[in-house]
Amino acid sequence: MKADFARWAAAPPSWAAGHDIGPVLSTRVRIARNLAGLPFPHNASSRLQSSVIHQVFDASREIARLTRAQTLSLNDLGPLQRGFLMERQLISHQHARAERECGLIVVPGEILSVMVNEEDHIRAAAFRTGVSLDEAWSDLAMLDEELSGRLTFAFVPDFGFETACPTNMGTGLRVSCLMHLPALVLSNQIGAVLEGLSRHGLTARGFYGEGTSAVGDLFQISNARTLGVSESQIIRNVEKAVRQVAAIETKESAELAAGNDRRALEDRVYRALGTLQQARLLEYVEGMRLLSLVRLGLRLGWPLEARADALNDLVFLAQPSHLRLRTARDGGSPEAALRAETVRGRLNGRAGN
Amino acid sequence: MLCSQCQFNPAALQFDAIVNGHKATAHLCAACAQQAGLGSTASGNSEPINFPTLPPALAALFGALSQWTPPARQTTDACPRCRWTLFDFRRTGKMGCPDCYVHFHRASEKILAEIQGAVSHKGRKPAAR
Repeated sequence: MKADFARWAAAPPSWAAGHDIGPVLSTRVRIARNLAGLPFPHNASSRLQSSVIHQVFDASREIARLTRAQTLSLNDLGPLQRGFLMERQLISHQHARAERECGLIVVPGEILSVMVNEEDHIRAAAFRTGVSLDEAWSDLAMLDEELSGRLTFAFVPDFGFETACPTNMGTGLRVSCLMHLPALVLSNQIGAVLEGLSRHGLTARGFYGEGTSAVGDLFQISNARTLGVSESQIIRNVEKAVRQVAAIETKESAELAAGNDRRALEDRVYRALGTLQQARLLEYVEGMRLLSLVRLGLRLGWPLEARADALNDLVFLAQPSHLRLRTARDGGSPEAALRAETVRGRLNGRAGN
Repeated sequence: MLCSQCQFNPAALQFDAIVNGHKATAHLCAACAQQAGLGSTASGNSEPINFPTLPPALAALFGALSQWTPPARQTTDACPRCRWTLFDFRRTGKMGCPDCYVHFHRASEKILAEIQGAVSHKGRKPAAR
């Protein structure tokens, strides 16, 4: 079945934050696994790369929870579709451009995915709305079990699951929450908070993962270590840290709203909404900055003519490849114009553009 | 060539010493040379260092070297399964295949200790097949 990307790009994934305006948008857990006895993808011939894709795709067809999934070969896709998959968090920033044979398995609603031949042979991930680490992990752990019953994973007792990069060795588990932290950014405390996280074995990345900057005050908080700590410890550590950061963000936003600068903050938030409602050209980074301010205003309970679900959906829909795919027939319009139109449409409650 | 001491960093300096009447050569990285009491200013390839005057740490190293027959290069340098070397690791930050971690076990432990702060796995194992 050929994927209809234009239709796919018209709606956010099922795990988008919906009506929630809290600091935690979503949870993602992923495991890295490799097939025993085979070179890692970066060191494998394209024949071996294809063979790994076939083995994983064949195994996935026997797994009940993946029977409705669609399977994609990235090599059949152009840069626009790959960019879209990256914006969807299904493939990484680095691998949107990889030349090798890559495959992707993704279930409807996008709560479970398997990337083949990214940095490792297998990167399986589960996604959920809000803080839902246990639920996401139990889903992923079952998939891990089912995959490992059909494929022989590279594992040694002392080092655990073996991965191309030593940063993933052991459990191969990366647990992360996508957080919206505008108050910590506005009050210049974000640096100190992120530094504190790194002292506790956690790391913060931008929306698009490793090596990307934070757009729209969005940060991914995740565990740094994967070896010597069990899966449940990793989950507990990340959850504890995420809840603490969320509490600091909430407290800080309340203080910003109660302090002497309330009028200035109100002005910024309402101007942001005005711009989003009226702009005819909207660049991506600017759009995300303005959406972030309006989302903060909603969180503070201010009367704003904007719905939380529209803002949360736009985090996905206002991205460059999403816009381009949905409006392929308007190829001539500048991206900034497409974005402005999409944002106005969503804020005014129209489901389409 | 890898440092004869840590088997991890590329060797940057060469030291010769006469040990029990035989010439022994050590190829060291800057860090191990410094640890052995030789600053990076020590010249490689110059006059052989006279064994009795060596600092104790270095004497121990050369002592060990004189007992140590270098294993055939091709077996230590590359993973027997995928031919990956520790140079390749230094270049890319990645191993070549799962077996590399076993073949370069000592270096792997060092790398993992540095990156992960631990060298022993806790947690899930693959399902019994």
